[in-house]
Amino acid sequence: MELSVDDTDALGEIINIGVGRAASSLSDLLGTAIQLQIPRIRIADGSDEELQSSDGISVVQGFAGRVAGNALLAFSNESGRKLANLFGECEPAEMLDSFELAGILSELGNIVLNGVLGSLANAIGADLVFQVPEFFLDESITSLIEQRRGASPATGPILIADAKFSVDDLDIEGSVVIAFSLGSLQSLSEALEAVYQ
Amino acid sequence: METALETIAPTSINGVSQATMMLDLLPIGALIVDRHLVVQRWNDKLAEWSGLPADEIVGMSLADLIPDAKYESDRSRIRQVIETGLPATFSPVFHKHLLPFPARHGLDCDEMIQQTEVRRIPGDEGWAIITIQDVSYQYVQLERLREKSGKLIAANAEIARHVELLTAKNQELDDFAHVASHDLQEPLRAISILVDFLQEDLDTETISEDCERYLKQLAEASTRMRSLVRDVLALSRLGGVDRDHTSVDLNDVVRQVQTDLDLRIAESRAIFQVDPLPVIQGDRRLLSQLFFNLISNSLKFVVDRPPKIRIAALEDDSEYTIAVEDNGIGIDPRYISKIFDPFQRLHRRQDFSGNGIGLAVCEQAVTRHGGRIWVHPDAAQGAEIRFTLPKSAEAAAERTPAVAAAWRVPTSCSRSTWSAGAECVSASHRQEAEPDWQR
Repeated sequence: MELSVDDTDALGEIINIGVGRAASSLSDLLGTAIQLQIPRIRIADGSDEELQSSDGISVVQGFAGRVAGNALLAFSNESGRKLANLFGECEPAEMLDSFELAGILSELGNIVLNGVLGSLANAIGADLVFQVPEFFLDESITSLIEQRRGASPATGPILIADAKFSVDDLDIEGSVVIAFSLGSLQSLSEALEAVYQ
Repeated sequence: METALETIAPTSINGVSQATMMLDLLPIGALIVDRHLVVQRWNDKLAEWSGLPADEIVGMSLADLIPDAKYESDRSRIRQVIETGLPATFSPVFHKHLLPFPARHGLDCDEMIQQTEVRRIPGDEGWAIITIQDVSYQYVQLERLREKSGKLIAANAEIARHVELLTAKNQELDDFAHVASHDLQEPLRAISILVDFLQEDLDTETISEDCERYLKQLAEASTRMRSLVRDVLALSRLGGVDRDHTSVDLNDVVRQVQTDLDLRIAESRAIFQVDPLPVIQGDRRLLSQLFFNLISNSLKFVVDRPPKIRIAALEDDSEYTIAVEDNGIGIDPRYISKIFDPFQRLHRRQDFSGNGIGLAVCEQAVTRHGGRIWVHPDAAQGAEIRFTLPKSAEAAAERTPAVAAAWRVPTSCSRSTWSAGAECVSASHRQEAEPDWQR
């Protein structure tokens, strides 16, 4: 089963609402105006080139219930370090230790993914159980999704939302990725249908 | 008050529930709060860190426990966890601690650095479990590491600045030597020509013997001066621009130098042993000059017997070491540290001709290739000069001439090591070897 164009549009809307809330929370936490935009959303499968790159930093948060899967906030190494360094205040940026990198991006990722997943749970009216965010360095998104598939036999279509963080005239690009388990697509589609109807 | 944990582990031992005992077994701090953020459980680890037992804390609200207003946003996020079920992470970078305990084990920081996570308890939607890890040690280690790295970066920047200054000064000196020697050539040439004219025009019958001797000395001095200026110019030219490196077979280079010195070799009845030499990436002209000067010295600094010259190569992972050894008069050990400086002469001019530039040129040629050159201190007879040439162009580029000067040190490589090492030269080189001790 695949997500319809309407499903994808509805998910795009839900993610946009979620990142809007997340941006507000991030601004409160960081004490500086931060804007978070989702300029583009697309559906991919596991063979997508962007998902294969292992030169990346990811924060992953699993969710289970009527709709299950994994949500990721992913950056290239360079972008992730740049974003973390805005708040880690480390000079030079190369000295930002992975301990700090994990701390900063786990919390930022937690806020962004909470925004998105909270918006999803609200929209589909499902009571979901969420895992705590985990930080990964130099692991491809495909590999992370596969590792965390758990008991689910397969992963369905993967939703990739380009994310642009704007802080102090600096734009940093990343992606919000949601990999739904194949078994929950029917429920998701039904729930989304109820939303856009 | 019973939580879902008590439902999972309902047994009570001596009035303490299994759920509480499980929390107490955790190696990290753990507390449970209800939707009003009133503490319901406080595990042993927190009691140990704070010095406050559970029976004093249970029943207190987080607002009473941490009244500081700056924690209000943290409390707000904990409430959201209970309301939405979405977990929250509190990084030590943004929040040094959720609960301000003193640092333990004599660490540099006053207060414990904490990594905190808050999760809603499944089945207990009005409750959240807060887990706290003490990451002070990692944090302090990180700060120390950063301090050291900062010093290292500053030191590296200082070294880079000095190298840059040194390179600029060297360039200035090269430029000065080049300009000065070039400009000196013209008046010297004029002096030589005028002296020649004087010698031709003056009637040897009428001038005094002293005058004739002075003119002869003047002619010799100006010839020597021109030779000196020419050598300085040659040396300064070596110090300038980086040259294009190509594949150079050192066996060919030595053969060419032997051809160039053919007359002197024949006159002195010199005997050569040239072991197989490597092919390297380098500047053929500089390498030819290097071997020419070394072999010339071996031909020159010998008395009362035919020169014997041996050239051999040793190879390791990163570089080749080449040795040029002879049976000549040798080098006084007192001077081996100065022998590569320009204008260093160890003998009187009437004994051995030259301006003391030859080995300085050799050093320039070697350092331009990223190598180093020295006098081997344990030569069995005569003199033995050794120099290295890096195998890779990258290694050569890393060793700038400014830095390479510091490398001019004798090694402890013994003669027996050398002999064994000569066997390491590759078979392809061996096939191109010169016949042993050829005349």
